Amino acid sequence: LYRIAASLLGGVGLPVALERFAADLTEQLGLARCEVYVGDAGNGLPPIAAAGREGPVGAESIDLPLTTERGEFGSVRIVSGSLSGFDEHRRRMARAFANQAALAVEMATLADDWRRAQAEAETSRARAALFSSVTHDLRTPLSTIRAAATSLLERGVAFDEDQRQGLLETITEESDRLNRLLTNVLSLSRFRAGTLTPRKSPTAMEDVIGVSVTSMRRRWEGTNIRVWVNEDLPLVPMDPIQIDQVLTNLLENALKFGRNGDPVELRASNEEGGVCVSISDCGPGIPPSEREKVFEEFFCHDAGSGSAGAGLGLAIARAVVVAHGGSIWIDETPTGGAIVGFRLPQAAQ
Amino acid sequence: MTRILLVEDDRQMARTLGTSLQARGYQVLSSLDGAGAIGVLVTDGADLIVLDLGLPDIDGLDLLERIRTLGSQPVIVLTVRE
Repeated sequence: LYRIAASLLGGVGLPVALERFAADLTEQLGLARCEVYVGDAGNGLPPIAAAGREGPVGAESIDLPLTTERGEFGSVRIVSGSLSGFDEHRRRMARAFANQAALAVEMATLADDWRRAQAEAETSRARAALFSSVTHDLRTPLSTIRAAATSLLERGVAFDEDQRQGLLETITEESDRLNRLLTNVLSLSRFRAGTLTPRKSPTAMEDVIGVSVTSMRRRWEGTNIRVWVNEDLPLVPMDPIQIDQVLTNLLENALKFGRNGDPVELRASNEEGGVCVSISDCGPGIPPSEREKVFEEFFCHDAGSGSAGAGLGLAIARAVVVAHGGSIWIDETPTGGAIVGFRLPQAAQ
Repeated sequence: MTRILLVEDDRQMARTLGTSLQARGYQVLSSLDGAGAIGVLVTDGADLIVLDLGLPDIDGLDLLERIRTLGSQPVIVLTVRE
């Protein structure tokens, strides 16, 4: 009785636990055979678990219900190993076994229900987090677009040509920002569904870096991004659009969390049969306890910042890098800033 | 000229608000964080403050309390959170 409870609680799963139960019962009571049925008796389904062999012709068999407070959910059929049948003592023992098995099965069912409820709660928590963070990230550029557009529409305000141009540029750039956020959300859901596989072709990493850095410099006017790229980087199989998304997300974090005016450094070098890219900032860094968590969806490291994003950037970066057969990590610079690096293998995966 | 201190960490929003206020004839002083805002208030002062609550270095409401210890000028609070 102890063994079946221990098996079930040990998480071996109901079928395995019931197989053990059938084997134990067969041995203890000297049965020819023991079969465990789940569901209505006589529904024609084969036993979920069984032990022993066919009994001698004419051997006595008994069906014992598996009953708990919630009702009967199955039965145990035991077949005597001898023609003399079951005496009262063995019948009582068999009933006790069956009752215990029923309780154990009920416990396992309850545990399953509980796990399912927990998983549902987790999913709805994640949905709420996505909703709230995406809402915040959508609203920021949307507010700016609205502020710029309503300013331009207002009569009686004399904008000079530069101011008018600046406001129009803002509207364009903030629309791009909205587009990037939506691309991130979409990419993540595709990765989750397993439908966003990289279209890899041998690509020069410095070309992709060039595109990402140029676009970041345009968007973050006045920021200082320093780039070091080894001259003899090998071509690496990659999906350039996805890797651009990784670089953009990492650069954006470095610019957002680094202190204003301090440089962000990007280095690309040959390493272990591939290419390694790292991006470091002079910000407050990420404490070791959070370095794994920052790659989880919706996790936003709180650097005292109200400008934390949706918590999608690093999750997507990791999904992309892993889909390329690479690895990604986070560490700290000698001055305590954050450094995020990723490695893509040269050999096709 | 009326002087407005704009405390907003989102560069695009800061630029947009700054442009709009300047076009209306206000002098605009900008800070991207709380420490900078306190510095501006102490050295230059301002007639009005436009304050975003989500700042990188200090909670906007804590900054508001500090601003209140420095003066009693009107403060317009901005936030995209509900």
